Amino acid sequence: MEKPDLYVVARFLDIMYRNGSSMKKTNIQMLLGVNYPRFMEYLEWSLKHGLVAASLDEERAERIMLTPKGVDSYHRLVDWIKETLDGVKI
Amino acid sequence: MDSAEDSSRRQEIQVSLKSIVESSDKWLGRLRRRESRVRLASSFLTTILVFAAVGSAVLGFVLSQGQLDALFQNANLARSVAGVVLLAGLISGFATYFLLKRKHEAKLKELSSLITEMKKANGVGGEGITKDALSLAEKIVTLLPQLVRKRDQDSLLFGVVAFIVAAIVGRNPAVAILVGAMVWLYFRYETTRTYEQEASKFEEQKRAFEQRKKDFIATL
Repeated sequence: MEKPDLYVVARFLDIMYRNGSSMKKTNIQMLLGVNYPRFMEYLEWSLKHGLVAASLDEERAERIMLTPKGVDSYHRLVDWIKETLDGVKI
Repeated sequence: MDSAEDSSRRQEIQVSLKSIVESSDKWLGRLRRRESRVRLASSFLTTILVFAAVGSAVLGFVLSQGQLDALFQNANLARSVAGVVLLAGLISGFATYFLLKRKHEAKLKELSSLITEMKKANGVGGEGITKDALSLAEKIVTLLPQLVRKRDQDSLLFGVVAFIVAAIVGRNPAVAILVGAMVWLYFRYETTRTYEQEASKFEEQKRAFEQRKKDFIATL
């Protein structure tokens, strides 16, 4: 995926950050509200960019969690939104 | 993410998001007040125009029938005709007000629901707040040029309303024309000055917003 939608990335980070722990892929996909192939594209993109990491739990099920880079990106995203809104003057 | 630092950061984010919601709410209030002024001026103008048009039509009809004296001799009939003409003006004015209200509310509905959603999400710390804030920012940036354009058209409306009010109060056409022209020119000057500055500023903001989105994605 060359050009990810910032809204989807933002929601992805939001879900992961607010959940605070590792999550199952299907749970993330449901909360993200996109179809599974689309979700996989975003997951692969996020893994590639080091925003999230995959691991296996004791039941050998794959779980996804936010990396420190992902947490930092979420913080930067919120600051960026605030700065952008502060810069808009009517 | 259970550390004290993270908890504090999360609170900071909530505060930032709350501030975004508050700013957005203020913008929505400002937009609503502006639309409300336009609505009042438009409905006042419609009332007067319909009153004048229907009154002229009735008078023209009475004159063509050669019944003008008969109309003025019969006070009840004259009052009834005047009442109907006035009622037609008032109904048109109210209809204009409510039609414009519906149109304006529909225009701001998306923004308003987005803010309501954000308030709910922020209140319960729900998901989606970040995406909504981003979407709100984009909607605001998109809405701005339209609002400036609207303001540009309003100067003539305010000028005409000022002319009518001055004509009714002052009963002097020359003074009314002068007042109307002054109000029109004032708002036109303000609008032109503001439009030139704001239009380029808004266009620049929209471009900057798009660029910032691309840049942000590139930094991830």
